[in-house]
Amino acid sequence: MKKILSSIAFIGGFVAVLLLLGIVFKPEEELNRAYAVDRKLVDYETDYELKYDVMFYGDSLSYTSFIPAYLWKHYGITSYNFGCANGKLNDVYYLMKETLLNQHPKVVVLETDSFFVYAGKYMDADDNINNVFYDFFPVLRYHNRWKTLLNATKLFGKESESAKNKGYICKKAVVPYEGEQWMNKTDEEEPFGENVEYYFNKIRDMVEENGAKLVLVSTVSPLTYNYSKHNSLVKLSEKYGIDYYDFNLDTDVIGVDMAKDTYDGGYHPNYRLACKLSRYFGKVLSEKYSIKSHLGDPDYENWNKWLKTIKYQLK
Amino acid sequence: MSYGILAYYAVFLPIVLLVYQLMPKKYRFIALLAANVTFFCLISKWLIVYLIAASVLTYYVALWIEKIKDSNLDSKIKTGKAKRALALGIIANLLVIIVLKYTNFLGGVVCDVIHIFNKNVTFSPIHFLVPIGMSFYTLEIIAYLTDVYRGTQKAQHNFIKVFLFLSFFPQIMEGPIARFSQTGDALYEGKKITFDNLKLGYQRILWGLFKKLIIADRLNSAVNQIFDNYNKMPGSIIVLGAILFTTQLYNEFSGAMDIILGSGQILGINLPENFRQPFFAKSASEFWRRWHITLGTFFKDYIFYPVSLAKPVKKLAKKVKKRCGKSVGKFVAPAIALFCVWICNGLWHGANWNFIFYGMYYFVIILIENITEEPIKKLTAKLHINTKSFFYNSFRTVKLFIIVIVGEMFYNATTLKDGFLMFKRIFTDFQASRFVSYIGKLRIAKNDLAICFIGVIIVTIVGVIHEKNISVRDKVAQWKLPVRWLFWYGIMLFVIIFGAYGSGYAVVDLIYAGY
Repeated sequence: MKKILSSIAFIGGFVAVLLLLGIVFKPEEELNRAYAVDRKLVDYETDYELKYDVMFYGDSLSYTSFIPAYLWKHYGITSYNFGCANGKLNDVYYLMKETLLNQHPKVVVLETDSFFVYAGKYMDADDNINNVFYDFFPVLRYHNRWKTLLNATKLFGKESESAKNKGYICKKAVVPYEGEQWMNKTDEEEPFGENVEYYFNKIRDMVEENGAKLVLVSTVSPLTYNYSKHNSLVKLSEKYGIDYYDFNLDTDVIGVDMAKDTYDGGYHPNYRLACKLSRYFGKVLSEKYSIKSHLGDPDYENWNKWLKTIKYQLK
Repeated sequence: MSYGILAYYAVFLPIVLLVYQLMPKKYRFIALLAANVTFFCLISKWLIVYLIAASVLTYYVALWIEKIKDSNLDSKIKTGKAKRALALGIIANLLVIIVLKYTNFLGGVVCDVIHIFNKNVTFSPIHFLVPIGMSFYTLEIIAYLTDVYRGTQKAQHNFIKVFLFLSFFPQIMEGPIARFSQTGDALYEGKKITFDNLKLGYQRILWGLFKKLIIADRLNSAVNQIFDNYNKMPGSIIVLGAILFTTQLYNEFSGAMDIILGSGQILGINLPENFRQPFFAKSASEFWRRWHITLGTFFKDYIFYPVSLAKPVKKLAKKVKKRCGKSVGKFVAPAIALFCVWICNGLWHGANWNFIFYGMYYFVIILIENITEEPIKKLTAKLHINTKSFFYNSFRTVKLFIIVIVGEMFYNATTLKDGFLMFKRIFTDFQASRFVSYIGKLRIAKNDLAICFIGVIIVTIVGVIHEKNISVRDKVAQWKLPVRWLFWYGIMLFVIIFGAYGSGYAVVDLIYAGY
């Protein structure tokens, strides 16, 4: 009897500890890539006093496509890239909510890769039993946030490489794309992921309330995009009157060469392509959205100082 | 279903234990049988027919051997007939595994041979579905039938006992390779689950999870990145890759064994140990007496001894001894037996030239160790080298570590050619100056690496304690209750918080479950 009571107390105590830890580890909103979102917010903390003309959001396709340093150097546009590794649309929504609190950008750019996958709290795709336990014990779902607590930036004041580049992650390797043309015309429409429209509407409303212009962008990625996704995004953008740019259809103008412009065989742009995309889209931002250049403005001298710290060339 | 997932510990195992305990003693075997079938079918579905067929064949062949041995026939005829029955049982089981696992490899080899004669022949690979655990239960079948033939094991007259033994759910995926005498009767007995066994079993399972989730699964991405892209990596990183893979393999396999043996312990089944601090060994032969122990003892008992004691081998050894002297002749029989063991070891791991090379690699090293053992003893005595000194033992440990990681590098390479190219790059393109910068490019974050390092330190400390024959669980059990609870809470929370599972981590399959 003593052993049974002792076991019940042991297990009961442990369950209580797990539930308490759930309160500590669970973020404000249910996130999919909680640690990746945390990391972005921690990086942003070193920068939040600055004002941005443009804020980029999305997943890894965002943070490998748009170079804030390039936009500053060639167009005098201030920006930050909030692309978040494997981020789902609910993660993007939360990041936007946190970062638009004290920002009023002219344009909010949303890369569209995450539109075609499930949006919502992390769920194990193959194991429903795991998901049941994750719901009961949030610490199991969000345990990876221990990295936030032990983040070098917070503990030692050491900036991450991403923070130094205002969110852009530079990948210089070249692994050629060896496939065929990926934008073959079709009338088909690829369905959006579960809960995507729900989060997209929340994002739309939030950006509108902020007074910014929401722009959708599909960056160059042969292994991600196809014409059926393009059709779905065109329909969505027309429905809500939102500007949409599909760079996969502008590859000639941009000067894309997928034999040299990707570091992982056609999924993400490398630095070469990121420069081309930043040059192309920077022109669009300054001309179509009338974002004035701040080059020469003494109030933006800290951006020139920051530019001097950038280690890669910006041709 | 797998040992790495929550569903196993939090749902499957508790349900099995509850149903098992609630059933009357004489029917508990039914609960175990149901658990075995359910577990197998969750992974391999209808392929359970292979296991059932193998069990039926094994059951009848064993009875047949026993019938022959109990008959009134002349002893020579009896032995011959029993031998043929044994051979039939073994060959039938081996044929199934050869067809399912080795057809494509053998087809490729035959084609390559025919190409030498300038004949144009192609072989289209056939995709066979292989049931889980086939390599493991086939060895258990061979051991069982051979033991019945040798008279060291009675043939079972209860088919359920045979099937229970071969299908026991904790060990079906990755072993250990048990003998019937070790677990066969206990599985059928229906022993009550005791509080102590439940507690100790789950403690062992927790330790296995620690090794798998804190260390092994965390290293998977970086290991794959290095082995898949070795031609772009400096040799220094290839060395790191070999070390990381060895660390991953040891922690995953021994971690799985902890989970398996812990599961067995809860049910009162004492499965044989498969690891005994292998990195404390001082030679390759000792290493293989501490690593995958049950595979080693299987090969020792069913290949090494029978081959070395076989008449043709003894005859050859005698001839060589006459011609070349005792000092050479004494190695002939062991060398031939060792060759057979290591070719089988290599092939057992898979149908691939690098596994065969892996087997031959250890054959050569162990043979050299055997041949040089006496001369080295004499040399160290002559030079007054203290073979028990810290420095000498450290030298032997480092030497063995190098042998092991080189072996594992070939083992994990995609092809044998890749293995050799990786080995070559270590010497031709080491680039120590690029080592630190390359670590930053590996698919493992610095904080993950730090946790892994802490995990390795803890596993090493526990290994040192176990090497002194001290049981950590027994020591902790003697502590005061609050301290004990804090300790176990600490380990469980460490695994839950720092484990490489869920968001941000890919699911990692068990390496040995593929054999």
